[in-house]
Order: sequence, then structure tokens, then C-alpha cells
Amino acid sequence: MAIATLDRAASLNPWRQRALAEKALIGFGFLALALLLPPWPGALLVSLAICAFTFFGARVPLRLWLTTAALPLGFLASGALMLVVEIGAGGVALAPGGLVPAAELAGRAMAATFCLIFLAMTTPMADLFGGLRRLRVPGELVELALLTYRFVFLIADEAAAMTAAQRARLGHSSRRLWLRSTAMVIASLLPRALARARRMETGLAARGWHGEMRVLSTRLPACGRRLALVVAVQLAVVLAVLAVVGLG
Amino acid sequence: MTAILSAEDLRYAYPGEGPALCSLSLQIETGRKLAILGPNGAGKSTLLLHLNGSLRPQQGRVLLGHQPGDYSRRGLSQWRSRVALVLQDADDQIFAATVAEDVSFGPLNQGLAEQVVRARVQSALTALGIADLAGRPPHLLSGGQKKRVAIAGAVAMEPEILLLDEPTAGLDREGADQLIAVLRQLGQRGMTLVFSTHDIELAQTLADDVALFQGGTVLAQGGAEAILTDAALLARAGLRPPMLVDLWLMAQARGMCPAAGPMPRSSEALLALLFAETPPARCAV
Repeated sequence: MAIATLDRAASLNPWRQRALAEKALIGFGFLALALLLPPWPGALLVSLAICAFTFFGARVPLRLWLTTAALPLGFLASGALMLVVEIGAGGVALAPGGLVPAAELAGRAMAATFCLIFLAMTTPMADLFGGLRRLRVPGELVELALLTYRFVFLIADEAAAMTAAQRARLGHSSRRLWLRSTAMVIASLLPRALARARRMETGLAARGWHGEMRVLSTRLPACGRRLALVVAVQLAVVLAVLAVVGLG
Repeated sequence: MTAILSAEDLRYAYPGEGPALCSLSLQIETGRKLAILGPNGAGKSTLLLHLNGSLRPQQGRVLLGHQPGDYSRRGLSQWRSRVALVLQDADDQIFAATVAEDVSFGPLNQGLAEQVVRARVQSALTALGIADLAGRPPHLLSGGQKKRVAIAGAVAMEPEILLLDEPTAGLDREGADQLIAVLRQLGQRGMTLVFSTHDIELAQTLADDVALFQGGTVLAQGGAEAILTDAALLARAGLRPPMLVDLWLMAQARGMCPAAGPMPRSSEALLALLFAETPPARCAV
């Protein structure tokens, strides 16, 4: 899925107008729980809770969520598979005792992935940068991240245009040609990116830039009641996990 | 008329290349709309970069009023507050994560208070008709919208002079028309506009004055009408008069419209001239 699609979805999400603090508490709070709590039943409960916030709270369309989740979940599945099987003298076999750690790892990683998808689908990068600034993350780091983010789209557009132009002149008609053409795109992206960076420097200087990229961002106030509700759900998950572990 | 910004005998060559500008002189008058008209590669963009101090001439000088341009850090800051530049490719200029943030960049660099900056951003976005895009990230904008964001970023600095490099390049007809309307409004508010273009129709639609460019120098500078009706002069810059002017001159030669009077700037204006005395017969349906 294209990164622009993800950002567009986040910009249009009904929870876009919610305070960053609320969404960060949900996303990062549950992420911490997924990593800290024992995977059974922690991963399951965290997954359920974060999905409830994603679908019932933020009303993320299921289809979009599935296309977004497909890639990381695919990676996860193939990674977990590696833990389950073992390649020995006798060929491929089930690894002894591999099933439980594989399931635990997959569960924990899946829950953590859902937390990040929640954030990605409700919070455009622009809002995250504003939050980083308010948290007093050094300006240079935020600016670097901001420019990288901006250039990702510009360079991706250029790469797509170059590839389309190559295709139109049959540059991708065989495997060998494809390899050659792709190498040429990669080779010409660097000087193009540099040239663009130089032009951007001129453009910024024309607007009085002297080393610091200050912009005005709007800040949405967080709602104390909603924050309390999120903390309550998170506490409930912790208590439920402790109860199950204690009983076991 | 007083020149608010002028270039005297500029000469500039990019490293390893022939001269991009050679003994170029140009006057920009307060409150006028000046088109820098010429073919691609004539040095138009290089000139604009000189006019806001981005490039420093190897010979000659740029004057702000009567003062020679000051290339010190402070001098450049003041210069660029008075003379804003909009690059041809808006993507070279927009860097921030949202439209409103990007537009706030220039006024903040001018050291204005947050309250003032907010007001400036709002009024620039409204003037450009993009107030509804304030929270949008730049990669979700169309070409025409990006262009207007880039111009809003310059307008929010409230400059005396706005330099625009090929303002309608890459825009569709509707986008270009909207942009022309916006630029006219800015002109009516007293802003001096200087735009480079190879599009003679744009020069005819928008400009009060034209500087005809060829091979890194100004062939002629004068009122739009004087330059755009001089076919021999235009030919020296590899250009032809706009079709409207062609038709108007032909109609004059055949006595179909008055031989004097201002150049028509639109098809309607030409029609009005042609049928001033004998209104067109109505078609029977």
C-alpha cells in the first residue's frame, strides 16, 4: 500500500481532530502493555482492546485496515514459521518445543503492530511532528525527520514517473532489462534529490530562513475524561491478565 | 514613475557555462505588473534569483530604491522581506507538514509575534482562496493548489514586490485562470508583481509592462501594448504577437475597427471593438 494512502486516511479519520495526547496514550500505552505483559493472555486482550478503539472509536474502515495490516502480518507469519521448523540432516522438521515461543512471539508482535496501525490510521505525520516539538525533542532531529518525510513523497513520485517512462520505451520487457532500468532509476535519483534539495534551500532562503525551521502548529486540548477512560481500560487489561496468570 | 527595484548592467555566468546574464538592465516600477517575457533558457529565472539576492552578480548591481543591495545576513533578511520570490516548482518551496504551517514559516522568520503570524496566515490563505486547505499535508494537494500555497507563503510576508517564476507553468486552464484572477487582486491591493513567462498570452492578459528577454539580456522594456504589438521586435526574441493582437492589427489594417485606442486584452474586448458601430446580426433560430 502506498504511504500516501495511509497518510490520506489518517487526515480524513474522524479522530484526526482528537488531541494527540489521547491517541498517543492509547497507541503507546497499549504498545507498552503488549511488550510488558505475559503474552498469554496479554497479547490477546491488548489486541482486542486496540481493535475496539480502532474500529468502534476511530471508525477505521475494515478494508483499509486489512490492506495495511497484511504486509506486517505476512512478515510476522514468515518469521514465526522460522521458529517452528528446523532444518537438519533429516530435512525439514518441527522444532522440538518451538511452537510455544513462536506463538508467544507472534502474539506479542501482532498486538504491538495493531497499536502502531491505530496510531498511523488516526494521526497524520504532521501532527506527530508537532507533538515531538512540544515534547522538546531537539529541533534538528524533528526538522531532519520532517524533510525526510517530505522528500519520501517527492522522490517516490519521481521514481514512479521515471519507471513509467522506461516502461513506455520497453525498459522493463525482460528480467535483464528490468534490472538495468531499475539500476538507472536508482542512480539518477541521488543527483535529482540533491538538485531538489539545493532548489529547496533557495526557496527557504527566499522566505528568510536562517537555520531554524519554525512553523506555527495548532494544538488540540486533551480531554481529561477520555484520558481517564483509556487508563481505566488499560488497568482493566492488566488486572485481567494478572488474574488469569495467577489462576494458572 | 519611480523604480522600486532595478538592475544595472548585470553579468552572471554559472560555473563552467557561458554567461546567463550579460549587461542586463531593468527597472521595476511601483504598483505595476511586469512580465519578463522570453524563450526558455533566456536567463529569466537567473534574473529573478538576482532580484531577491539569492544570486550575487559578478558585475553590475541590483538597487532597492536608490540603495544598492546589501548582501550581509541582516541586509538579505530585510531585502527578502520586501521582495518575495515564488519558485517555478512549488514542491521546491513547500516543506512543512501542513499548508498552514508552511505559510507561517516566512512571517515567523520575520520575527513577528505569534498572534500576528496567525492573522497573516489566515489572510494569505483567504486571499489565495485556500483557507479550507489549511490542515492538509502538501502531498495531498493538486498542482494548482500547491502553487497557491507557495504564493500564500510569500504573500503572508506582506512584501512590496512579489517575484513569480513561470506562475502558470504546469497548470491546466482553470487553474491558470484562477491564478491570474488572484494575481490581479494582489495587484489591485498595491503589490508590485514581476513574473517570468514564455507564454505571450499570459503577458498580454496580465502585464502592464513587458521586458522582452533574449540571450541573457533585455531587448526592450516598455508598456505591454508597445512591446506586444511590435511583431519585428518579438521575432528577434523568437516570439510571435498574441493571436488576439494579430487579429486586432489585421482588423485595423482593413479599417474594421478604430486605428487608435488601447490594445484589447480579451476576446470580448476585441469583439466589442470590431462591432462597436455595427452590432452583430442576431442569428435566426
